[in-house]
Amino acid sequence: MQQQRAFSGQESRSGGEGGHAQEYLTFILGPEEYAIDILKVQEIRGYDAVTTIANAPAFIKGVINLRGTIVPIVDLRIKFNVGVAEYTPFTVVIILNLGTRVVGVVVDSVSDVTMLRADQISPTPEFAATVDTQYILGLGTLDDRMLIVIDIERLMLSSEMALVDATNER
Amino acid sequence: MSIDMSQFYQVFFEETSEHLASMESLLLGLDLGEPDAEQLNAIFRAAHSIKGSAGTFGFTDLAEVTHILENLLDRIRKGELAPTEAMIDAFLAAGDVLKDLLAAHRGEGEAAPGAVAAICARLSELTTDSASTTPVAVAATGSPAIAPVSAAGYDISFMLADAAQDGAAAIANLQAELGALGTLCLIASPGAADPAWHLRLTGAADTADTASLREIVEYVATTDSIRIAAIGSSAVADEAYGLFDQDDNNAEAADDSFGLFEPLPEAAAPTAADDAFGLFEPLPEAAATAIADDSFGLFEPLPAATTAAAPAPEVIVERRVAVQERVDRRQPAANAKGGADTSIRVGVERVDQLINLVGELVITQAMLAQAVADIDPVKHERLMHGMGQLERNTRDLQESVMSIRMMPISVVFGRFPRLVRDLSQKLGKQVELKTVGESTELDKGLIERISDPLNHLVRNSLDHGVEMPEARVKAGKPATGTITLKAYQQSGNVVIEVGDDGAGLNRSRILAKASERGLPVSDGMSDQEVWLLIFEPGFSTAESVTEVSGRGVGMDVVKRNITAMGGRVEIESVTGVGTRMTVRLPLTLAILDGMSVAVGAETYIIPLGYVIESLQPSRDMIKSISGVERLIHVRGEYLPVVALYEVFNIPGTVTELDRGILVVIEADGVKAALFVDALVGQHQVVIKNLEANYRRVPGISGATIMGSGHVALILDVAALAGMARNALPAAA
Repeated sequence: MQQQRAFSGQESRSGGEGGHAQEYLTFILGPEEYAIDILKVQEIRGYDAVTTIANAPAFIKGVINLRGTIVPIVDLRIKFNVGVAEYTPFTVVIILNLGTRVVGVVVDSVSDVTMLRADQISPTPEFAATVDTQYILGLGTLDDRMLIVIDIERLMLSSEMALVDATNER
Repeated sequence: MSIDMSQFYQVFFEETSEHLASMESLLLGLDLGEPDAEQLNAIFRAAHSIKGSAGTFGFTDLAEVTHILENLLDRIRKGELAPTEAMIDAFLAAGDVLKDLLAAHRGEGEAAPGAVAAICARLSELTTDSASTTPVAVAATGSPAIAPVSAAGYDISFMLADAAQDGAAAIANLQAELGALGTLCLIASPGAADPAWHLRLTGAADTADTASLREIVEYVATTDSIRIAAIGSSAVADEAYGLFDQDDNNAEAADDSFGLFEPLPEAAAPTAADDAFGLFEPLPEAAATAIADDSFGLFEPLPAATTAAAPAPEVIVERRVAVQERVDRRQPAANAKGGADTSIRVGVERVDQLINLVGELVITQAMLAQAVADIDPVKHERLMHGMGQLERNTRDLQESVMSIRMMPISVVFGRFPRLVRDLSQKLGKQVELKTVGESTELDKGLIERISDPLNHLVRNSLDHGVEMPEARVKAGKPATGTITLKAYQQSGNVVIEVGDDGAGLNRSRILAKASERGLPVSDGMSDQEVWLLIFEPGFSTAESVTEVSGRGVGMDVVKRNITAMGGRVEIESVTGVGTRMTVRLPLTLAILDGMSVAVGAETYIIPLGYVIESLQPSRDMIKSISGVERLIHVRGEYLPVVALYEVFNIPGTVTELDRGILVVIEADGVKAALFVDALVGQHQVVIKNLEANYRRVPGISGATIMGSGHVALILDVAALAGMARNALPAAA
């Protein structure tokens, strides 16, 4: 797992050859635009009633029934502290398939699917942010938009998301 | 043509394990004084099937051992040899060797080198030993003093090995070599229908036996195609039939090539797996009777052909071709009828997927039912009717699908006869094993996990429970002890009892041992409490550590494993009369009877098994300690109250104890009252894992999907009961 992550990270970071492009799903959180590897996305659905889990962090909205599977839902707006966590009929949940786990993330909206070449992604400058920069693969530039490319798998499976047991056994 | 065989290996491994297991249980069930022919045949068939498929898959070591095993078995079932205790032991040992070989092929462990050779030698020794003392088998060893030289002979059939396939020279060589031993005649050369050579050797010197002939033939033939039969046995066949007496040759040609003419009527014809021979089973008439108890029936359709068959081998070959053609058309139908095909192998994940899908269907059905609840039933009578039917069908479907995962406990019980036999021999005890309720079904997942704990319990009963024969006689009990394995269903539980009529647990010794180990004990403890001490880690009262038990590992593991399955163990014991360990398990891991309760806007499921009662407390039942209302006085007991809204931090709930509902629960002997807003209903819920995509949540054991499609969380009652104890001072 670790290796795989490192590999995919390197792939999109190595700016040398420039020709290699990857597809990203971009979504909006408040005023910001984020991009994640499209291969991690299982489906996109509307937000409906979740079952809250006691004593969970605020950004974990609860769990839903996704065709028989119990899937936790994370609100990235709360986690990243951007925008207003409103739930309207247009609120979107991106269901991510991260190897053995399925997780849903609430975002304001999904914008599109874009191709980004490695040379379009510049390294993240060091700065303090609510999101640990280690989960940011880089900043993509598309026309005059800035896309924050995040390593969603690493982020979701990290201990700070509290989605995985601390012991990491399961 | 290269087929990837590995995909079939798994099936072969599973089938072979099954055959080995059935062989073992049959061997153990065999009554030596009066062997049941049907049982002998079943053992033979198991060995034969293993040999056949091992040969097919190229596991020659397996095939080799089973071949020798089969030879001996064949002679026993034909009544040439009487089965002895030594043989049964050798068979069991051979079974073990085969298991080891199988494990080695699977890549799990290694077979002891030399074990194969040793067991082969042991079996061959048994074959020859008995042969020389049993008159019927004399012809096989070909001793000229007793049997006339002209009568002793061998029928040999084989297929050329690929390497020698085009070598007529190889055959010539072989003929010369065999010819040196006696008179050789060619019965049939390979034809389209039968690629085997059939030779007959008569007048062989007494130095020749099947093994040595085999060696000679092996130079040119594929090992597993070689069949060498002493004519002595076919002569018996001749007499039995009287069909072929005018032409000996003819009878043998049929005999050696197909083995159709089993000399014993009980020789139930093998299944289709039974090499080429099986091909002949599906003749119309035989197929009609299905069980080929009576191999003779096969020939009914062709009596004229058989009797009229000319001695010339060519004719026989032709007839064979004819028969085979008829058979080919019939084969699929016959296969479908064969007993071996009444079950299919399906991966567990497929079954689970099916269960999931049916779960979805049930939810959809419930959703529809809710949607039509408001519709005028008069106007939409047909729709309502259809909904009713859908509900019934869905429920039936769910039940049937769930039952796929259920397996009879005989799968587990089946391994104990051997264990008891071996162990009691080792310990010098006489023990009889009785099993009751083997058809009791429980979930496959549980079956797999219960077998180790049961194993420990049975070993424990054998080692510590049942006394030595002398001691038993002295105590006025029969010398043979009895261990009883009993399984039955009782109110949503499967109960498995392991009982023995031994000495019973020794209270004073357990207490002494416990205080020696520094466990908190007192003489005033109840028997039940004392017995439970044996589940403490490292606890053993055995005076010496034996190979069987006494190390004190085991019983605590048993307890832990059973608790992990959601079950519990109880012990009853009476000194001098015996001990009974009772294991209670839930029927399945996948479904749970639950009570749904509302707390604020949330719904939680309490597993019904833990619920004792629900009540709305009156003011005077509620007692407070240091100003906090924490206790409830129910039926003479003071129970701690666990308020779910506090545990789960749920806002907007009822907080006054007398305005909500208290659900009294008991887990691990601890009672507590859960405070909820209201009772919602009672359901059977499908347990879903919360940890698969999320993590453990304190106080929650899992999740389920309600009729509305929403997720409800299942409470971990044991943990909540524990919280009651721990949270008490914290809250005050």
